[in-house]
Amino acid sequence: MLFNSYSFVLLVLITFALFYWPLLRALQSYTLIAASLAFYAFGQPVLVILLLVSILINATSSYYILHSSALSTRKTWAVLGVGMNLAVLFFFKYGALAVNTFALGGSSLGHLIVTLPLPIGISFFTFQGISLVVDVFRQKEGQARLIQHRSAWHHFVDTALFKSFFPQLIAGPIVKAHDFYPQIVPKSFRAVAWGGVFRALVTGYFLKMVVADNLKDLTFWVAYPYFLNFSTPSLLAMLFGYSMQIFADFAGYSLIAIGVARLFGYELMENFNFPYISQSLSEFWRRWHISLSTWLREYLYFPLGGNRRGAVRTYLNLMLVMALGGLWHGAAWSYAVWGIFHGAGLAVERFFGWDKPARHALGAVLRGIGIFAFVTFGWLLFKLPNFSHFLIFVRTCCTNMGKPDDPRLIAYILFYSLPVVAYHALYLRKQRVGVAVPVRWQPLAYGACLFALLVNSGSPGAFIYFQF
Amino acid sequence: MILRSFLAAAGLFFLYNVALQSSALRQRAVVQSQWQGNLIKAQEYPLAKLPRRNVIVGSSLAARLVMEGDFENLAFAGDGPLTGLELILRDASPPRIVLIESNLLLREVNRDVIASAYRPGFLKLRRMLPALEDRYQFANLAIGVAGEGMVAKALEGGRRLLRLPQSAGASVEDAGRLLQMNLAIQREKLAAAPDADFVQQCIARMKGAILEFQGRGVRCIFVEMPIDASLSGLLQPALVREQLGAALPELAWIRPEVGRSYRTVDGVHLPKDEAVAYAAYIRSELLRLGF
Repeated sequence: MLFNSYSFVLLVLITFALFYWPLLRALQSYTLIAASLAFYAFGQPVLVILLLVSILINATSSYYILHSSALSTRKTWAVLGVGMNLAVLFFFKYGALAVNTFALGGSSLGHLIVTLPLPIGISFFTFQGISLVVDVFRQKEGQARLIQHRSAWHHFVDTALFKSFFPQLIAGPIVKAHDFYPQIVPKSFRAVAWGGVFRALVTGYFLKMVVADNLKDLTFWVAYPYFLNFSTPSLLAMLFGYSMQIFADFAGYSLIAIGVARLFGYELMENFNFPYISQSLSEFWRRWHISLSTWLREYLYFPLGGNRRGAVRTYLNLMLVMALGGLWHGAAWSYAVWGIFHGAGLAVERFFGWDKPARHALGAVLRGIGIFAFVTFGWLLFKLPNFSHFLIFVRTCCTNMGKPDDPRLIAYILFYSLPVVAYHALYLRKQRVGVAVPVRWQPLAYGACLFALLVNSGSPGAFIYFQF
Repeated sequence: MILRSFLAAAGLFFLYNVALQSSALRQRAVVQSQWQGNLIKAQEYPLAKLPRRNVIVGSSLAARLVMEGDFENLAFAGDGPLTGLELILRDASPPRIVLIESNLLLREVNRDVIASAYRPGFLKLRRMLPALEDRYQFANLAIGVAGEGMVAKALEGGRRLLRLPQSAGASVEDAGRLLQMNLAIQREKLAAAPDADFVQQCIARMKGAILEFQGRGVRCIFVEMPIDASLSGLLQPALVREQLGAALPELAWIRPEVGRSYRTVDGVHLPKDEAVAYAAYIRSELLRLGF
């Protein structure tokens, strides 16, 4: 079910009415779980079973960690919980990659694995499950704050809500257990922060439906063999447009998720913090897909030793975490290459000390442009997961200088990229003068977004991150 | 703030509709992409002045046909004839003749295109408020009035400044190489056996639509668009031709002239001059067949 569909709006309205209906106040969690299962079942009903199994695995393992006194028992449940989460993820998401890589497609099991549908959002809800198991284990070891001892049933219900909460179920933000569980309390209609809901929803839908959905049709041609016909400036414009599109698409989705969650009294973490103003790659990763990068940092990079075990180990950890982070995005080696590309960038940056802020304004601008170019070039691996097509695109950029330009295409790309540029520019203004848009102009700004939604939305497209 | 934002949006919407009353401004609107072109075509179909005469439905192959006069081209790039047929079926006033491109039959009905044309309530609103039509999106006007020209000048200036070659048409060798590559891709596509169930499903849908048209007094005729000679005998085109013929044996066909070879840009799409010539040929064939 797409966020930009009538069926989603209807689901939210019905759920909202039931959620705050006084007679059903005691059943708020159940209402949200039922809505979430309906949301998930909309596309592939049979896969709800997988979601339920995943909930059961995590509820059981976390419950026994919470209620066991022996460390060895807790460790066993933690290893079991994390292992089963990873097994489910590996089987459904990476099984086909393994079968193809090791040429096992001839066997009946291989054939079955290759033909399995990829359950939507599996990477997101699996990572949330791991977060739950690890957080509960750490809590018992005195490292973390958070989850109360509850009855088995209540723990199961809380876990079901945590794992399936529909605003963020299929494309994040990836919620960590220690952020979400403390929020599972009765909610009141009077406490709904309407201003926050409105701002998040209008900005999110604007970024998705006006910017990303229009750019989608313009960057479509970054696909083999279509791009062979375009001139170098047109190719570069399309690559730039894709960089804008992927931000608008995912940041828009995250904002809608945040806005819808706020309707039900839940606060999800910000997933994007104006990433394209970053002056270093490490800053970029603190601003881009924050819920994933913090997850990788907390549950992978730190346990591997982070930067506390010497320079070589730090670089290795960076590369490994980024390669796995890349593979998290998709079951293709090009995603791992994308991760290694970023990991290598981070390592080089750290080695030369470029991760520190620039001393001069000009240096900051040049670094910002450099980081943007690096990141944008990396997105090409997302757009062209077939590595040979990626190489042909790069070669075509070098050889097609004399081809006819497409000024209209470039003009449209620049036009739709403008809001993303303005969005980042307003943030810089906010940093300088304390406010992005003066209060008296805010209604006009949001009014303009609503106007654009009405008269300038693109044809609806699926969110890019749904495939992950 | 929420209420004032909605009021601001309403004000902007009103002003924009007032501005769109100027036909000079409306004429400057350009089209963003082939997909938007499809939506515009679909949205304009039910808004068109009546009575309508003849319509051609199909894919990007037939979309290139320049059928002037009493012909409306309802062929959609990226989609197939079933989308056009579905649009006509939903319209209250049927045309006199429907020409149906037979080549790319094996494509689902594009529900987004249909929904965009017949979204409840929008049809009447669009007659009064042109801002609700995709053709008059704000971006289309902005790019048409200023954006495209500015970018063209900037590109030219940039190339001059950097002493880069000015953009020119593809060289003969380039065009030849691209054609060969596209032919190879098309050959692979068209030689593959389509899913038999899907073929049956498409043919059944086509047959159902045609029978309904005939019941409403509409005359239908298949039109086969010329493609590269090396492709036209491949499995998929041959299969579609054979199965359509078997399912609707009484329906007339207009086929490419025997013995004439057609130039294409990529194996399946005609260049402009060929498309004009083929449109003229279709007209003459229609006369010959008594349509």
